[in-house]
Amino acid sequence: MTWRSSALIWQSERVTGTESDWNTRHFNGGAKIPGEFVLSGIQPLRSVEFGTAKPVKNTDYQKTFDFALESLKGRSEETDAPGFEHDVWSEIALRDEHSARGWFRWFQSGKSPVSAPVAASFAVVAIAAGGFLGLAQAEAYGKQASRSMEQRYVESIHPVMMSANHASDSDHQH
Amino acid sequence: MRNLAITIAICLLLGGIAYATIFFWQKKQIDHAHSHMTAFEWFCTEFDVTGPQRAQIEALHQQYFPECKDHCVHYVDTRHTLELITEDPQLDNSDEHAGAAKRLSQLEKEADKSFIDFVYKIAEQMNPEQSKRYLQRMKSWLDQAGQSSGN
Repeated sequence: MTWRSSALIWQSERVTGTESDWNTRHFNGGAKIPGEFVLSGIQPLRSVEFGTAKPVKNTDYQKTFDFALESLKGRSEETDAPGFEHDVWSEIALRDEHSARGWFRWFQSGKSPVSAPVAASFAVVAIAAGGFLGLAQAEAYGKQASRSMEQRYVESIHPVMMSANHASDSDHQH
Repeated sequence: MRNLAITIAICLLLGGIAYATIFFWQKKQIDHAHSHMTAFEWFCTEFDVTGPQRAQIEALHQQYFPECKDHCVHYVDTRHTLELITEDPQLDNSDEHAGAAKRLSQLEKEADKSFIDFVYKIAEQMNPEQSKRYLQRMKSWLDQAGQSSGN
């Protein structure tokens, strides 16, 4: 039994183990990581890796498995935890990147059809919102215009303010 | 069935068109109304002054305008004199300089007093709600004028 074969069997055991077993064993019972993610951090067993291996009977396999498990337990200190964590974080980064691209692709793909009534509802809401905003903006503009008129009125009845207006008129004439 | 992205884009476009249509339509009406309005007409519209009340208040305005204009001309002359004195180094801190500054300050106070007297005269012709609103609005301008002139 080589280290590689024992590792492959160990991987098999990891893949088939429960999520909590895996978290407890490899993350010291720390923060829970979704099962999908944890399992995806492990390379699946490929047939090519078994390509050179001869088919084994169930009983032989059980013996081999037990031997590999014992062997692995004996070599537990040699496990490459930092390397594994690095792979996990790489997987996280890749997934984040894919999810961001996924949104963009989803937006471009046109795979999210909207029924005609929903589209019509969106349009009505958008028009109503636009109209409401337009009215609100026009009201603000009206208040500003009214304030200008009020200033003109006050300038017509306050001598000093009238003089300021007079001075600006003179400046324009000059 | 439509694509969600296209639907959103079309809705945004429709919303933008609705916004622009409503806003510019209202703006045009506001501009048109204000461009054909005198300051006194604005006052009547803003404070709901109509009928005989309007005639009385208009008469008070017409009576006050010449006095206000004379005061304004006097104030402008005094300010111009003060500016000339200030520009002349020989007259710096002279009696003329102090006299012109004092006269200008006195005219500013008189202007405020005549403004206050006038707005109270107008307020007397209005009903309580109108006069309260009118006096509040005019007071804000008086405060603003006081702040800008440093009084």
